[in-house]
Amino acid sequence: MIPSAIALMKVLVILCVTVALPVALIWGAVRFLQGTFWLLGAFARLAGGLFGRLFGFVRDTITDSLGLCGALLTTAVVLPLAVLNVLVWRWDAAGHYGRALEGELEEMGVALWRLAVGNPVRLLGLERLTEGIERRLPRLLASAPAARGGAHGSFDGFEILDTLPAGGSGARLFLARPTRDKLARWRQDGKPAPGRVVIKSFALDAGSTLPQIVRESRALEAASRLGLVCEHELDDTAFHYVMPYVPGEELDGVIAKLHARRGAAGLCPADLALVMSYASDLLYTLDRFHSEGLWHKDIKPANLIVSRGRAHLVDLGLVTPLGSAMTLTTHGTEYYRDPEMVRMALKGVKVHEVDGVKFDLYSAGALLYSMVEGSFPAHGSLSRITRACPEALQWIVRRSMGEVNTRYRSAGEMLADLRTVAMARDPHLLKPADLPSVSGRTVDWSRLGGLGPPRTTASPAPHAAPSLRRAPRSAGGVPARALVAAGLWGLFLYGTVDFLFLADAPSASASERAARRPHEPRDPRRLWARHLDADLGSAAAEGAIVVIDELGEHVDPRILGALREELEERGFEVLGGPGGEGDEREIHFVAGARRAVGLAGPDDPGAVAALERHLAADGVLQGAIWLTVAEEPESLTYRFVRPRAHGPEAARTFSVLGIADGSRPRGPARSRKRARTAASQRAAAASAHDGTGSAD
Amino acid sequence: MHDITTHFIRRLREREPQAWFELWETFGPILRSQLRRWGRGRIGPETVQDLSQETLTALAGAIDRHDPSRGARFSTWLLTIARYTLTDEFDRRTAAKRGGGTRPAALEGLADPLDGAPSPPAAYEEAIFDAKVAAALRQVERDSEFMEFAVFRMRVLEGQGGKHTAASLGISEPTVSRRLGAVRRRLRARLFEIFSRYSFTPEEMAELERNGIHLNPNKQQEAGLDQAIADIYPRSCAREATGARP
Repeated sequence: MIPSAIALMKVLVILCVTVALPVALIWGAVRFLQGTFWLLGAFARLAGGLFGRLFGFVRDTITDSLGLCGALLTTAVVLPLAVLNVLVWRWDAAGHYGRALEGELEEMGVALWRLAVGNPVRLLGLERLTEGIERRLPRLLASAPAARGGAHGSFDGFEILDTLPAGGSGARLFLARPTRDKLARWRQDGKPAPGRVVIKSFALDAGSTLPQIVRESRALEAASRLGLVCEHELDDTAFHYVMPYVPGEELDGVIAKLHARRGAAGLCPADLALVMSYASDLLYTLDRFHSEGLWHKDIKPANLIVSRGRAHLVDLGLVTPLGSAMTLTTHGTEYYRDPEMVRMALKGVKVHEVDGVKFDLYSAGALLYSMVEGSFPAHGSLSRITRACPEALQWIVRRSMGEVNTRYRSAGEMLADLRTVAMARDPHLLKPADLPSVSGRTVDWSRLGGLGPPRTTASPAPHAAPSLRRAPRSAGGVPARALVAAGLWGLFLYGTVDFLFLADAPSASASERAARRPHEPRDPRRLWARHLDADLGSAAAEGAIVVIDELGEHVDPRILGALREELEERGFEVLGGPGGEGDEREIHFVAGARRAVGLAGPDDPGAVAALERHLAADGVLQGAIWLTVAEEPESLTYRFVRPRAHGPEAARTFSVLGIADGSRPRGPARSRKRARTAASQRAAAASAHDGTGSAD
Repeated sequence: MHDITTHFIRRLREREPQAWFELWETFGPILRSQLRRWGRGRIGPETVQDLSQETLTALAGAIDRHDPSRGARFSTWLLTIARYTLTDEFDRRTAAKRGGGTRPAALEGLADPLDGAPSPPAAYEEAIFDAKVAAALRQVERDSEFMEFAVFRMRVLEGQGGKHTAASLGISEPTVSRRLGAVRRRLRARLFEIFSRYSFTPEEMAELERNGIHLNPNKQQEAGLDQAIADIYPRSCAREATGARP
């Protein structure tokens, strides 16, 4: 047994020696070879790297030396020219050569730096040391705002606060604060009186050109009427105009953030509602432009500033009167500019021969597309919507970007469709056939967001299809179809006349009839602003602050944002509310204030007492403003109350938005009756307060 | 070469703005995308925009010297001019860096830009084909009533069912079919016209049929148009959207 075991062991040992040893030897040899090759590779890489660096150093040194020589040679040629022109007093030419010399000196400086420092540092592999100076610093210097003030940075009646990055128009932009005298004068003239303004300045000797100045100045009178321009001034060599400053973020940045949050899934319902509200803001503004005979011509995300939840259209650089006799140009921004406009411009037509409104609407559609899709419409009207978007909203985009003759006829018509989608319980369930422009239904503005109708609502179509169809191409139409159309129009006209003048004729007084008749549309914000001025008076000048007290739950943040903006334009410091400070900071400010005006929600009767408690011992609460949401969305009311300690309580109640006084016709008879009742109730309530309650 | 092509080239040679605009509208996006690809990050969007316009300017010079009998494809001709424009831009930049001013445009001394030009890649040829289809679609959109094209868009481009389209637009299903038929007829005619205009060789013309689009289809080929457009349209949009997203 034992000998056989020993024999087995021997066999095993022999096997190990004969098999395992060679395997181990081979493994060792392979590892050795691997190591050797790795070392060789590393050495080759090192040598290659060193050689590459050396080669790069030599190449860069030669290139930079040649660049330095070239710059020296050019300087040698240009310098005498500059000196010669100075000697003969040709200042323009001297300036020109001087600027060329500046470029050459810069080139020399760069070449010297690279020869002396940059290239040796790179040779030693320490390029990170000089990267900041060579790459980031020049970018930083190039993007720095221009120096304050200067030759064209001083304007009477303004304190320059800062400069803003210039756009592509060759103008300089200044952020400024108007002096008190200037503000008082503007208020006296009924102009907007913002706390901060942007001054856009052109000067021939600062590089602006005459065509730029002419282009910018041609629509300013109309822009002033719209409250977009506070003042403008033109002399022989310079021109500037002053616009209210809208702090905020450009729309493209806002949209990029919204899409970054959700990725390819598209916007969530809340974000979708937000972009529809931005589009509504734009269309409302466009409607004002068009009703004043202006064509904005450069609608794109970068020209909309989002401030406190609202989108503001800025940049008047291309604004053109719709009836201008000038030749149409192709100015605008690609993808947001209707290709048809380019086609017309190439034909050499005049501005008044085209419908600029339609081209603005194309841009508005393109902008809506870019908000929904997160990219610009690269395929024009054929661009595909791939992200989550209600069908009815897609329809609006398509119709606004469609062929020019089938496009919406006015911003008002598009706005009516958009608000129908925005106000739908579930926009995704809404069909294109439900939109006012397709169904031909009249628009009940009071139900569409409470912001009132635009100035130029299109005449409602009696039936869907005719409003979307192009005019028949030939005169040989079908008589029966014409008869049906005529019948429908007749019914519509009869209904309209009945609705406007006849329905309640026996019982209605003349004033009530007038109130129901479609009146000249008004800008509700101006009405509101007038009341604010009347109530707050000189409180701002006396250093009063305004406290918005927890209104977020009760009031639409957009309305609150607009109110806040109005107050800030009057110079008030506004605390609380959307974008405001927290409670502690509010109390701190209130405690330090000598005068204050409170703004409170509807269910907070103790707000006045609370504010008074927080005020400094010698502080005075000027009054409190309540914003109250009544049962209907448009009848948000504004109520100003003076505390009893400062005289009899005075309150006024009226619609903040100027549309809740029953003066607007509401379509169906029941609604009209309800509106009349509400109006009479409000009028009674207002006269009970102080007799000034305004059905404005 | 087809009569429509020669007529179009004549319009280009006569510097007719509308003809140039059509060329720009149809092929501008492809030129930009191609220039962006060649630039490999060295040129920004503004430069791409400028260069694509310069390409058309260069094309204006080249069109007078173009010899259609040489049998080159339209797409190759366009691409070669774009490449020369870009090369010229890079040469200009290099010259400016050296402080030597600008070099004259390379195309000025060139007899025909097709000399020695390599064949363009298949992806580019596909983009050119899609651009021609998109141009036909745009033209049909202009020719059609809004509701007609809306029906076509929903049924063919977006792939919605007839019932859904009818309910969504508030019209009957037979109306959907009628309007769809009208747009299809118009589209066929426009496709033939556009392909004839932008094709220098019979091979380019035959691309339509190779992709399932027949001018005079039999019953079996009739349905092929919708399918072909439904395939081409998203492909073309996706290509352009790649450059459109920030």
